[in-house]
Amino acid sequence: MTVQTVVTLGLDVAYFAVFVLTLRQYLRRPERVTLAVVLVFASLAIVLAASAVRTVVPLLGAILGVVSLPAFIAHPLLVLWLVHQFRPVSRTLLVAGIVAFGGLCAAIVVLSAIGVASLDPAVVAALVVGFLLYFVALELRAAFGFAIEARRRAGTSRARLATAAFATTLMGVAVVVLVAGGVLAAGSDVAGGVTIIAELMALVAGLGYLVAFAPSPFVQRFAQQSIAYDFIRDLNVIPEGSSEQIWDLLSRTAVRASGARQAIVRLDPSTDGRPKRSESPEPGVRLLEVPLVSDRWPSGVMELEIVGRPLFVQDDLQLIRLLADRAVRGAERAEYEREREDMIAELRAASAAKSDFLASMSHELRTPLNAIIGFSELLLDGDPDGIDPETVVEYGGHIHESGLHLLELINEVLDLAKVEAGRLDLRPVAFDLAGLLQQTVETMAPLAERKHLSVKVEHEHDVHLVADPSRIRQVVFNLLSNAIKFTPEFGAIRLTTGRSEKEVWLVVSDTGPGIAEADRDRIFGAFEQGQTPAGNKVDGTGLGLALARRFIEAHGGRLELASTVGVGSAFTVHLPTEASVTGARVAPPATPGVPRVLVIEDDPGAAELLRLYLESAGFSTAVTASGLEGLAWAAELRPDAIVLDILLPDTDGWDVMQRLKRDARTQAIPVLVVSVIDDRPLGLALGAIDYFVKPVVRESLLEALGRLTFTTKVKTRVVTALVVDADPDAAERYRELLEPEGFRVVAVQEGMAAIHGAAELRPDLVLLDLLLPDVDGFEVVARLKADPATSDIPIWVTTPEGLDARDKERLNGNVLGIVQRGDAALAALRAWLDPLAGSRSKADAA
Amino acid sequence: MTAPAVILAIEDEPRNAALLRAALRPDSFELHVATSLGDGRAWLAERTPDVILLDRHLPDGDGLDLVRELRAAPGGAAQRILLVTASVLSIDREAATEAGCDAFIAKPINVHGLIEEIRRQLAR
Repeated sequence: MTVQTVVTLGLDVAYFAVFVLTLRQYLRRPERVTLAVVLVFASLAIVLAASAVRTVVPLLGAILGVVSLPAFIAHPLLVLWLVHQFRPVSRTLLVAGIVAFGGLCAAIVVLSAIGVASLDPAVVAALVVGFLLYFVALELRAAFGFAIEARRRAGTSRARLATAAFATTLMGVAVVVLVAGGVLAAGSDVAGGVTIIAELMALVAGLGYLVAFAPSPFVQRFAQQSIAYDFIRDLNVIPEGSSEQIWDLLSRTAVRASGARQAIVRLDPSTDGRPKRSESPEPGVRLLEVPLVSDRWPSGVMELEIVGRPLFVQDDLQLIRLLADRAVRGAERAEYEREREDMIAELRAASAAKSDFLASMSHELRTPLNAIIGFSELLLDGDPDGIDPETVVEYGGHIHESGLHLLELINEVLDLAKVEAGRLDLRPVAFDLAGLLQQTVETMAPLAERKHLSVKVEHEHDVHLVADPSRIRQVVFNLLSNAIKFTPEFGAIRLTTGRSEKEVWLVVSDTGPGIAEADRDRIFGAFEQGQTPAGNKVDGTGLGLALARRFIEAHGGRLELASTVGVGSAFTVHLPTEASVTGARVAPPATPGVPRVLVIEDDPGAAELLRLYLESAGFSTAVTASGLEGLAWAAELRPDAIVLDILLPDTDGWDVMQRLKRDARTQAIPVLVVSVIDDRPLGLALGAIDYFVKPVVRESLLEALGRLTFTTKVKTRVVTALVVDADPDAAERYRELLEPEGFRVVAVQEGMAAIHGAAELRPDLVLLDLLLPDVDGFEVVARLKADPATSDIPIWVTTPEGLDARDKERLNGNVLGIVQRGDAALAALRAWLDPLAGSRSKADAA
Repeated sequence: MTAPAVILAIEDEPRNAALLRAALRPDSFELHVATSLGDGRAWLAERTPDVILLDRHLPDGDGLDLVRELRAAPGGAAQRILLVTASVLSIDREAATEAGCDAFIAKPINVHGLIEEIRRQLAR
């Protein structure tokens, strides 16, 4: 076997291998660019196959020449077309190439028809030179295209494209050597050598093509290693916690490896659908997606924008996927690291906030305690006889006020703690926000008037919502009292409400000093207090806004602040109209033998104070903030007395009183009104036995209740009832009713006898009919109340029909109850005695 | 009988100011109450008290700022300054010492203790 045979055989094997391998690639992934590659090597394969066949079957030479020569001539054109797929070549050059190809093919047809020998050698030489020029020009142009593309790319692609450029150049040179050398050395001894040199060059080119277009995995991996090396090196110097830099590195590497125009990382941790692409790519640009698989970004991808049909992208994608996985892990760690740092910072801040809160709390508690302890020390140290009463009252007043302040503080801190622990007990009911606003504004009116502030309420006709009215009232009260505190004299405050489909809003705006941008978040913190424009300390706990915001948020709403320094502030409450309504509460159980007072009061501070007053005087209490709940509890508990506020969240105290008086179970229960609303006549006319305007004085309240405590005396000894009725039968009926209950009944028929009898007997109860023969019942009530000996005896009045409001007013405040005479009176009295009997029998059993 | 000691108290909380008035009787002390640092400075520009009773959380700043100012002023080292405050953490006590207070009195105050401390300072 000669050297030439070996070289030719190698050539054949190499080019067939490239052809077969690229064909396999095309069949796996049919794309125009792989088709171009197949055609390039198909042309060479045909040439080599033809020559091989010719060696075996020489007869077929002429026919094979017709096939193989055009295929050979087509080769440079096909290579150029391949380059055109990823780096567009000028149209003129392509057209010129096609024309030249056509011309050369035609010349060959003509030559084979008429024979080379018959032609002018000059023409043959011209044809050969033309062919060489055509071949070399196109091959070099194609090699140039490969080389330029190689420069743009990195790693495997770069190496493969550079190899392709080299192989293409070598191919062109080989053909020149083969043809030109063949012609020049024709007939000489070196002719065979020239052919071998040309074939060797073609063989090297073929091996180059093999490496470029069908690389073995080993070659591929070798080239990819440099990309991976660079990537890992750069990844390692990215600081902890910086996932952005990791994504940036990944996309830069992907661009280098794939020749993409750009690579965009799209992460969407929220949806599990495909992330939104901003716009579809322009024509000629393809998008390739590399998934970024992670629990954090269920739909993360990196999009490669690829222009044209670059070579080898699919192979590079494998590497890019590998690097993407590494980047995902790095970014996950970075995110984890960042979250951990955020969490640590949050915990530190929370811990610092807790310490600050405790420090503030200590400070805020000590301030009122200073007055309490200091003044009480002064009182205790003084000579008891030497201290003048005015000093005692003054010091006592300071102690009392400081105590109230402390109580308010504690209540607010407890509320705050409840909210923070998520245990705020909201009791939503449906109510009208406009009404609540009106009531609160009325309550605060004196404070506003003192500073000559105008307070306007503007509301739509229907601002009903479901929420906890006592909490909402606290919020409104707080916002309004802040507005009053901070707005200078003659300023204006506006409360505006309205509703949209799903929410009710309320704006409290003022013409105060405004709140600087820097302070706007701070003022919602605990123990943060603003100052008045004059720099004076304002009264308050510094917890109001913190609580207000949390109360509103607990309702699923939000509290917002808008403010312009020097112009004013506006706090806006947004509340959803619907909130979940929890079930009714159960009344607290009674303590046997202890008189019970039902307190219906929605202001937590006031309710607490009443509870303390009452319990310190030996009463047990049931406290509710809701008028409707109060009614239910009154019927259920049958308390010995009811302390009723007028401004209530759900219904007002007037309504509660009327309903108490209409219900047989509750009409006899004495009601004491304690309210900021000063309308004693109305309260008494509706049936209250006494009326206090807040702030209520403990002694007055207890004195009024003391008049009722005979109900408890009944439980321990025989009590006397003085019945004053012109009708002797009436006296008999009372006796039948009362004596079994342990009363001693003394009956008189005249008013004067009643007055004297009461002074003498000191009965525990007077049952007085208004129609008497000598003096009327009003007179008797007045005389009994005027005499210190009888003034604290409770009086139960029975009346003829049609007693008007003015008459009731004359009596109320002085009497325990008013009922119509006759059977109604007995029924009411019986109803009133019912709980008494109940607790008596329980006490007996005990 | 000696002339009453002149005392300037800077205290913004009205009830606590009232307590000082009640505790420091006019027969032994001539008490002036300022309700802000500004008021206090204005008063100090006119007169020099024997003792200053100073709160920390004042509407126009921290009482310790005034202590530093006074200590830095000529002859300020001799001024007797008692810090009377409800901020009683150890860090607050250290800050008071650093600023140059002569004594630290924690609220709630013991009235006798306060008077004793004032007398001790006057006797120095």
